[in-house]
Amino acid sequence: MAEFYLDETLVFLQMTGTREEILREMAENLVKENLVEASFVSGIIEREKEYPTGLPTASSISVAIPHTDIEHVKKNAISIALLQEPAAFQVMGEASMETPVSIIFMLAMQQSHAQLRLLRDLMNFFQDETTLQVLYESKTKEDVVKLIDRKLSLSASKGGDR
Amino acid sequence: MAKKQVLVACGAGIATSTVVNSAIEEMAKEHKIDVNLIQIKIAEVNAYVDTADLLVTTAMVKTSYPFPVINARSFLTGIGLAETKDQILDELKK
Repeated sequence: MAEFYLDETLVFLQMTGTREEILREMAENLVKENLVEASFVSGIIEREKEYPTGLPTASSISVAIPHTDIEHVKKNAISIALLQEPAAFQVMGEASMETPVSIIFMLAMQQSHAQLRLLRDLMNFFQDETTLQVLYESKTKEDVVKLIDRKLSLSASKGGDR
Repeated sequence: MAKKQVLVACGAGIATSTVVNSAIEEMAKEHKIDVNLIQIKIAEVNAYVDTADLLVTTAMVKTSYPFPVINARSFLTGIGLAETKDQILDELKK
């Protein structure tokens, strides 16, 4: 099981704003929930400018996986936002290309090289058009958490020892 | 055939390069190719300029290197994955 924390406080529905506004709100929420350091916010925003994380998928839904260096992170966590209107993100590895992102998976990762299971499950998830669509159409935060839990086999609890 | 040194890089050296690294590892095993995989941040590539045979990366490459560079985004999205794998295999078999 991938040891990543996710609960309803880390899920955003019908989110609006520009790319940077959205990233800031998601990151600040992770700070508020005591899962990352305050420096995570600027870390995420700067990293996205330098190394964009927008990913077009085989479906009409593009995703983004913003993340930053491990020193900004207190605990492995994943925050998810469903955007009301797609926000323009640059495509990973392609400075000149943008993609309209509808779902953001913000990753707070604490160890390097140790999160392969989660990442692979996440990439498989992105290649599954039906499930992406179901996720995007989720009506409640509970539905989002349940779906992601099932697909990514998350297991971490929020506080203390595992 | 000499063992190839392959750099696998992304922005942070923790997320997407992890996925790509393990995929190449499996691929090499499947084709019985012995390969020296090094997972790094894209900013660290310069340290390997003299020794690397190939760079596989999800990040954008602004510098030119004396070895080929292959974009690895398809490992994340599945789009064009077969072509990317062929490209990498070709380089490993050289």
